[in-house]
Parts: sequence; structure tokens; C-alpha cells
Amino acid sequence: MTTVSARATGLTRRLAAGVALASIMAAGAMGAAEARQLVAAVATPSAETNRFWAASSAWHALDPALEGLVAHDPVTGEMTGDGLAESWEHNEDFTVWTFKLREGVQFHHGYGELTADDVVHSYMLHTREDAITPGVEQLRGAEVEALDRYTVQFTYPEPRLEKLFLHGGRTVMKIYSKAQFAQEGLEGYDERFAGTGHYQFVSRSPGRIFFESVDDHYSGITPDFTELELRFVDEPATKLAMLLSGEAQVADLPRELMADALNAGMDVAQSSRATMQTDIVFNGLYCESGDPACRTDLPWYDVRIREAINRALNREEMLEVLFPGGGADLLPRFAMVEGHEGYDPTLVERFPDEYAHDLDKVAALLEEANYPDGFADPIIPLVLTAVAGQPEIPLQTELAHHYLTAAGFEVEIREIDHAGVGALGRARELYMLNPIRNAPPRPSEVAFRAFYTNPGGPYQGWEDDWTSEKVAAMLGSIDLEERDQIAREIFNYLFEQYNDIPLFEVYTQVAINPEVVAGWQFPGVTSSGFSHWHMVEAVE
Amino acid sequence: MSKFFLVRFSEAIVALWAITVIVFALTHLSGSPVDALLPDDATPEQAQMLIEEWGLDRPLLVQYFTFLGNVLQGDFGDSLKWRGQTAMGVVLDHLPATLQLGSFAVLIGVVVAVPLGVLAAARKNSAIDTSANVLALLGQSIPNFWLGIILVWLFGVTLGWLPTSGRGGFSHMILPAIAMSWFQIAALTRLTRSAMLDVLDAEYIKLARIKGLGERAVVWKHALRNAAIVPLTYFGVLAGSILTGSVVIETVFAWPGIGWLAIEAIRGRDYPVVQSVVVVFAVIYILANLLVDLLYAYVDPRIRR
Repeated sequence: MTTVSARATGLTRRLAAGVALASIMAAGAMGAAEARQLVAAVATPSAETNRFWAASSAWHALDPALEGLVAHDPVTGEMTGDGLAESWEHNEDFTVWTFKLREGVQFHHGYGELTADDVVHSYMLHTREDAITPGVEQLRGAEVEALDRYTVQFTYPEPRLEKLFLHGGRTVMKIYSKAQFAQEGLEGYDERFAGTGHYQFVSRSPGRIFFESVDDHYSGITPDFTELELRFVDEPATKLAMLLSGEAQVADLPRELMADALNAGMDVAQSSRATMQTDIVFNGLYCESGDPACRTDLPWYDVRIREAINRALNREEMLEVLFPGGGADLLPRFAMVEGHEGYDPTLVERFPDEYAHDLDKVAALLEEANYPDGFADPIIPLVLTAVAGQPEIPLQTELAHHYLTAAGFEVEIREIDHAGVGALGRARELYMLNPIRNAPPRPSEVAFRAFYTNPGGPYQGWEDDWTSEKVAAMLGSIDLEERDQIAREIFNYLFEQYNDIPLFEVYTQVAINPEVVAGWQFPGVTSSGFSHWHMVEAVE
Repeated sequence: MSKFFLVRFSEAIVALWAITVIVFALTHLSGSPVDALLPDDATPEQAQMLIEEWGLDRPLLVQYFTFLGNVLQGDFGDSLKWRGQTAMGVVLDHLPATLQLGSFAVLIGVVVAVPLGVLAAARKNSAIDTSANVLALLGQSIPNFWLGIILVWLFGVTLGWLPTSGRGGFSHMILPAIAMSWFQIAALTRLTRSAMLDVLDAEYIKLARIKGLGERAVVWKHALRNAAIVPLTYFGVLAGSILTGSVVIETVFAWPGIGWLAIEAIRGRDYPVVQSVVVVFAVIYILANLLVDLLYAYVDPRIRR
């Protein structure tokens, strides 16, 4: 009896030990399955700081953790009330904007609930004197008030119709925790800032940023990947190698390497909307009345030359060469976007005819304009530069050089770094044709301000009385129908003036490893194109 | 010896001062950081505000002496790209990565090149000598960025033996260190070989052989000890080229050292960081050469005269 009992006890012990071991192994296996790491190899950004307001361009590497007030639908890109602000309203003349915040949103690292005071605090941060985010001038000038715990109001002295654009994907202002600032100051943000995104910031080391997923996010969505690492890699071949070797699962490859990635079994995720418009600017046309910087002797001062240059380019061929894997379309009118003010479908219809590649027409226009003999300096200087986030620019310039030379233009390529182009523009001495982009495609009002009525602005060079008056009229109106009509007139005028060389609208593409990443739905509403990191879907 | 040291040290200080002038002038000649840092839609007022805030509107000479005064206190100002950090702080954050990689590359260079050079000289016109010459030729003619990419694809992607890039464990260092030391192996092998050939022809070596010393002792003990002076002088150059080579190699391998940092700072026109990087490069280079001069003088007393 004793023996049996002992045996039974031994058996029970072994069984118990076996069950325990199996449980540990199962738990371990579950743990391993739950801890999923996503490494994204991305281009080194132009700024690396936890102070969002101190970065001048596409600094979206903090997006997994930091949010703006207004969210975007991942598919349509439309602004939604799914983010920090669940609703908003403005008064009749668009001078007062009121945002109702979602209740129960928690800052990371235990810094408490998001309130209107955090929004006021964030506004103060992002409008400091050292703030250099794009669009900050449109953000400034408000009186910001917390009406109650979850309601915040911005009051401007003049109408701000495009206020939402500043708080959406473009985001001039991210929401930081006031409580953290009170406890730790800016140094606390530098060390480990608290945001409200689906991922929380863990640490930053040279060339890397680490995030981890938030389990109980207010959206109810938990990312498939528990750990996210952004690794900054400049050499495209190295990024491709990281992807193919399995060290990274996502890589923002230039288009010419995308085919190699696809051939090696990788996949492509693409933004649902075009992320940017590309264009070549006829710069140096600083020709508002009385402006001494206006040079009427420039060949491209003559609209016939501008038309000829536009018609000399074979855009379809350029599209095939620059974007062999797709993900780009022809752009009929720079700064014009469907759904934005002034969108005119007739320009889309007219474009294939009036901007068509037509060398006979080019020859006729040049003869009519007496080019090159009628010009003291017939040289067309084309700027060759590198623009962050648009690696195809140098090739695009070389292609333009090829087509223009073949059409009979005297063209010279001028190699200048992007900042150097900006310096010449600010000095109003940029008498050249330079590439430019509109990313993300701005609302028409914002685009007009940036590209056509910003004397001393760095990259655009179209300044004339007609455009300035029309833009001023649009900015002075709060009648939406009237504004739409004015914007339409402006687009038509610019189209007929051939005031620039519209090229392509480009979707953001990213290479993914299909063995790990099943897909990534992102709308393409940020300057870099990337957003919605929590939507990166893991393979089951 | 102390007079020799003082002269060399004074020369090093003058060189450092000259470098501060050159780096200040070059960074300012390359344009204003405002142009690189401001967004495309910035207004002229925004630009002016930053120019005043950063003191860029003051005369160049005033800016230089302010810069020099701050440099003497180790203060290069705040980084313009890595906001919230000092320029020197950013450099010091990245310096360990470069020193780690550079040291390993030097180690590989010495461990491979010196024995190879000695063997090539000791067995002149043999297969080893021919191999060493071919290796030296390849080493000096293959660009290190190209070699880096080939190594990444061969060992990182095709074979999957080593990580392709980034800084991590020991295995992360192997490929970039090889790419970085490749040229140095070639140069050091040739130097060692030619120095050894000279020494092996010397009378005292013949005497040692006549006295019945073993060939191993003759070559590795007596000949190498005397021949080592020539490669030793090369270490100053080696240290410098390891640093400058790091600019390319660190970019290819996404190795976050000061070479990578230099590229990023130049791209962003982050003057304070560019100046810090160059001065740190210069200090390391000058110190390495100073050390070599002193060692050389220690080993060969004729130099001190």
C-alpha cells in the first residue's frame, strides 16, 4: 500500500513537474510570439531631437509616439475625430477654433490624462522664438485658452481657414505632457518624452530610435509589433541588404532599388494618396510692379519660352524612367489637389493637349520668340540638387537637360546643394530653373502663400501683380464659394502662363518583408509620407 | 629630449590653431546654416530672427574670436541639428563608436600586415611574396566604399554569416573594420617588406647568421626590431586615415561614429558639430603624430639632434 502510494506520489510529482514544464514552455512560447520586433531602415532625417518644434522639415520619426490634435483615416486620409480631438468647430469668420478633446487619453510613462492645459502648453512650446517647424507662422498669433478640462479654444485676429491642416498629418504642433514639463523641464523631454501615440518612446541612441507598443491605447488598437526600431541608414544598398538579410523588415528604398527588392521576394506597401507633387520652377521671375529684381531679359520671362520648355519634356518617358515600378502619375497643375479649393477638372482635361511633348510646336515657339538669337544670354540654367525624401531629383534634372538640349535649348546644369538654392532664393538671386516639391500636398491657400506670394521665400520665384492681388483677395474672403472661384481663376491663370513645369504626383512606397509584414495601410498625409505605424500588420 | 618634445608640442599647438582658422573659414564659406535649417515656407523675418539669435550678423572676425574663446573652454555651442544637445556632447556620444571601430581596424591591419610584410621579405620572390604584392596592389586600388558594399552583400546577405550594418556586438565590427583596414594592410605590408629587405641585407644580420643564429631569431628578433622603425612612423598617417576613412565606411555600414556624424552635420550645415568633429579629428591626428615623433626619437636617438 505504501509502495503504491509512493509510486502514485512519484507519478503525480512527475506529472505535476511535466505539466509545470509544459506550462513554462508554453508561456515562454507565448511570450516569444507576443514580443515581435519591427525594424525599419529609413533615411537619416534632417534633424534628430525630441523637441519637435526645433525641427525644420519632415521630422516624423517621433510620430509613433507623438500625436497632433487631428487624426487621419488610414485609407482615405480624411481628417477624423478618432484622434486626440474628437470634434472641432469654428465661428462664422474662422477666427475662433474650438477643439473638444477625447476624455481618458493617457500620456505614456504615467504622466496622467490629456487635458486642455496640455494643448495650451504645447502651443506655447511650438510657437517659441526658436520654433522652426514648417507652417509655424500660420500657427502663431493665437490666444489659446482652456475653456474646461477637455475643451481648448484658439482665437486669431484674422480668419484661419486652414487651421486643421496645421494639426493633421502635416502637424506643426505635437501634444506634449505639461505634467512632465513641470516635473522635469525640457531635459525630461530630451531624455524620455511622454506622448499619446500607439507606441511609447523608449530611448534614442546614435542612429536609432526605440519604441514599444502601448497596451491600453485609447483607440482600442494594439499594434501587432510590440517593439519598433527606426534605424537611420543613408546608403541605399545597405538598406536593401538589411531588408534581404532579415535585419530590417521595412526599408524606404529609392525607386531604382525597389525592383531588386521585388525580385528578391520582397513586397511593396504604398500610401493610399499621393504624398507629394513634383515640379520645376521658373525661378527669378520677381516681377511685381517696381521690383528691381525683375529681369525681363531672362529667356523664361517670355511665356512662349516657358511653353516651349514645357512641351519639350516627354513626361511619359520621364515617368517610366524615374518610377519604373509605378507609384506616380502625371501632374497637370502644381499645387492643385482634388478636394481642395479651386480644383478645376477642365485643367486636367486640357493638360494632355496643352502640355504635350511636341517638338514641332517647340520649334515654332522658339522661332516666334527668336530664341536663342534674340536673347543676350540664352542659357537655361538647370539646378541639380539633392532633396531629402526625393532621391530621383538628380536623374529628373538630367532627363530634363536631355530633352531641352534635344529641343534646341542651350542648357547648363548647375550643381548646388539644396540649402544653397534656398540661400540664392532668399537673396532673390535664383535666376535658374530649380526642382521643388509640395509634400504633403497643401491646401490651396497654404500652397499659394508658400509658392506664389512669398517674396524672399527660398524656392519659388513666381511673383506678379495679378497673382498677388488674387491671392490677397482669396485670403481676405471667408466666403467659401468666392474663395473656390478665386482659387480656380488662379490655377487657370498659372496653367495658361506656363508659370512652372508640373511633373508628377508621387505616392510613398516602402519595401516590406512579406514573411514578417503582411501589409501597411497609411494614407500619405505627412511630409515624409509615413504615418500610422500601428497599422503595420504582422504575418500571423 | 625635453627640448625636442617642446618643439614638437609647440608645432602641434600652432597646427591646431591653424585648423581652427581653416575650419571656421570653410564652414562659413559653405553658406549659412539658416538656409539649411529653415523650412521651405519660412519667411524672411524668421530667417532674420535666427541670424540674430545665432550671431551670424556679427562681423566674421568677431565671430571667429568668439568661436576661438569658446573652443578654448571646450564649448562649441549647441548643435543645430541635434537640438537640445551641445555640439561637443553630440561628438562625444559618437566618438566611442569610431574609436572602437578604428582600434579594431588598426589591430587587424597590424596583425595581418606586419607578419605578411616580414614573411614576404624573408622569402623574397616566393609564392608568399607574390601573394603579398598582389594583396598590396588590390588593397591600394580597390575603393573602400566599394569593398564595403561587396562585403555586406557577400557575408551579410548571400552567406548570412555577419550583420550587414549598425553597431552591436563584436560581429558588427568585423566587416567595417576589414573594409577600413584594407588599404592600411596594403600600405603597411609594403612598408614592412621594404624595410625588412633593407635590414636583411645589413652586415650585422649577415654576422648574426655567420654566428649560427637560427633564421627565425634573425628575422623576427634582430631584423624586425630594426626594421620596425619605418612602419612605426607610418602609424601617425594610419591613425589619420582611419579617421578619414571612417567617414565613408561608417556611412556605408550605418556605423554611428563621428565619420557618419560628420556627413550628417555637413548635410545639415550644423556648424558647431562640424567644427567640433574637425577639431576632434585634428586633435587625434596631431596627438598620434606627436606620439609617433616621440617614439621615433626614443627609438632612434639621431632624430633628437
